[in-house]
Amino acid sequence: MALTASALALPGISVPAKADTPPTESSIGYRISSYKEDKLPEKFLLTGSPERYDITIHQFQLVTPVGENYGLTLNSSYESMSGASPWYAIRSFDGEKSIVMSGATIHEQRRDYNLTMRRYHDNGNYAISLGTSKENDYDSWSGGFDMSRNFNDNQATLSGGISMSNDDINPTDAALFNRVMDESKRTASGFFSVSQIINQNSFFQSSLNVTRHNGFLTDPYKLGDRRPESKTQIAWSNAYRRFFTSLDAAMHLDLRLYDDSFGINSVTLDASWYQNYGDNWQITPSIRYYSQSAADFFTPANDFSSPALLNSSDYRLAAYGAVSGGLQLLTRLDNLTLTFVLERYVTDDGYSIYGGYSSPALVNFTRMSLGVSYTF
Amino acid sequence: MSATPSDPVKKFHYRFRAMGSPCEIILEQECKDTSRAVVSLLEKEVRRLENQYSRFLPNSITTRINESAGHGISIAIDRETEKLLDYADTCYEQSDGLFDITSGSLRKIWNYHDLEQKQVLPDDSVIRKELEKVGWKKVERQPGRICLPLIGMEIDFGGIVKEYAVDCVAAIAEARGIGPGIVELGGDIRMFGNTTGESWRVGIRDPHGAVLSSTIAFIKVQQGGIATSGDYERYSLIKGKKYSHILNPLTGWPVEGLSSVTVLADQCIVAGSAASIAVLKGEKGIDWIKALGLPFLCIDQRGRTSGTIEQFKQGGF
Repeated sequence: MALTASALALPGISVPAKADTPPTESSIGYRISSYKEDKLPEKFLLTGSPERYDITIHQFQLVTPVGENYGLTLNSSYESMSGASPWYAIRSFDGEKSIVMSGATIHEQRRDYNLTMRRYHDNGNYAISLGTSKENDYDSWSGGFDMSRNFNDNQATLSGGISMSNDDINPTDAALFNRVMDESKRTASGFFSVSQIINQNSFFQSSLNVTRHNGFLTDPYKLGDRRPESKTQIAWSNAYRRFFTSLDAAMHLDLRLYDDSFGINSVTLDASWYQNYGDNWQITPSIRYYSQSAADFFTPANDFSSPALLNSSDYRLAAYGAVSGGLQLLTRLDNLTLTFVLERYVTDDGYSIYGGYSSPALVNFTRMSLGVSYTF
Repeated sequence: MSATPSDPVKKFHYRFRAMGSPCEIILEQECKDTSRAVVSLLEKEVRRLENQYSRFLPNSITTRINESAGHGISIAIDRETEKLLDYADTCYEQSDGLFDITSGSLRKIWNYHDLEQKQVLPDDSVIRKELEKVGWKKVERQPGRICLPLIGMEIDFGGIVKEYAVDCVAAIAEARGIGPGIVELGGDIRMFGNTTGESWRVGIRDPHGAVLSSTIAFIKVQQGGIATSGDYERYSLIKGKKYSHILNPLTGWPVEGLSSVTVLADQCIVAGSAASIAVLKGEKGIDWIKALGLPFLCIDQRGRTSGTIEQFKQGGF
């Protein structure tokens, strides 16, 4: 019937079929997070402060529709860090590897701004984004484009994107510590992902991300640190989501495999259980396992005798494993959503599934965050 | 028209006024807090459409289009408005020009408040002059744009948007998983949610009843939309004759023939326009709606009912 056919073309009547809808409401959100690293065990500390980083992060987000087909997202964050970080590692007189921490307490601030404008159309969306990040010794600009398109009656989605960034690094006290001055790093990254709705209650997504860094990749604050001038990273991420109607809960499983030209391989496994209680509460326990191999040039104790060689004692390049557990609590009050997250992260070379050198400077941390968002 | 669940226990009622009509959302089950949040979202949707399409609101797209009439400019319209105009175009074609969203300017000469006081009818020459500004085919459309070429020309989504709003509300409710329930906006009704064989009874008001609440028939409805068009809602008595407020855009005169037509369809907007077209067609409306194949109930000016909807007298349950 002509009337019915014409009626079915009306957007409001075919609401559920329209997969890509711009935000129809605005929301603002604020989150404060505290990230606190455990003290370095005294037995590994040769000299310096055992206190490690304490970071306080303030995040602000605004999401708002613009016109009928656009959505604008503004993210900004302000981080203030204090504490000390490992400066270099040597073998002490008793032959044990030991860490020399940076002497004075470091105080740093970082400001990030990111703006994304997304256009929605009947079978997909695309966006451009611009971002900047500033620290007193660091200045970064980034830009990106991504798009996604729905196929097969919105059951499948293909997405892809590219992004680029340029970082300028101007370490503080460069003359005093014979650090580099005025270095830069360029990054180009691309991703492709495919997602498929399996049925009403489950969904799978797989994505591949390739990133290339060129330029100064060394940590200017670590003594004797020298790394290659380029790095290629490949990451393959897989996500499975399943909703259990009878339990009013959702299970999220994630697996990520990673490989880079520094020689690091890693695997990440994530499992979360989103349990709803009534209409206004949600409790989400989650557990994560991570393990990586050491970079080819990682050394547990810096070798200062041949400074031209690639060499780093940065614990982030060591072989290790980590387990973290978290709990998120979410509650809704009318247009207000409150979230509280507590996470504990413990790392140990014994948790690693990879062989190779580990570091005594591995870090454990506790993260807490409190967020509020308001929809209007 | 009024709707109530067959089960006298109504668990949740939500009432508000929008689009110049009372609006009611009824949920069969106990309303959880999130359902309450969704219900307020449903009200928001009705208000969104009212703000967008009301010809009384200064910032609505309807007002912007109407204010541009005769200025030789075309107005940019969004996708939803474009699809509503496409729908209006289909109604125009299906009704051979009787369902015409440009017929609103005839209201100015059929100002019943004045005509009833003075007990006069508008002059034929005045009607003919006003008819020059009426005609959907005179509207100039391009993709994403509309232009009303003549001064004084206007469009009115009033005959479509209330029913469309009811469908939008039902679609959102179903997408958000609330229901079973029913939404009624000024007599236009739509059921939503998986109805488990449970039916709602809808009372059809007696167009000739002395009391406003007198009901001529009850019908049972399980799903879909239901809408009524008829002159019992609004009419004026001039020189002893009842004049409907529904105007024929071809003659410029009020329609005669059917007092009320109720139609059932999957979408309320289809039920509403089918009922309107039937009334606009007068006596021929019954044959037209029969051919359409949708369940209907007609009441003619002598109070006789006919149609394919099963009726129940009050107390028949």
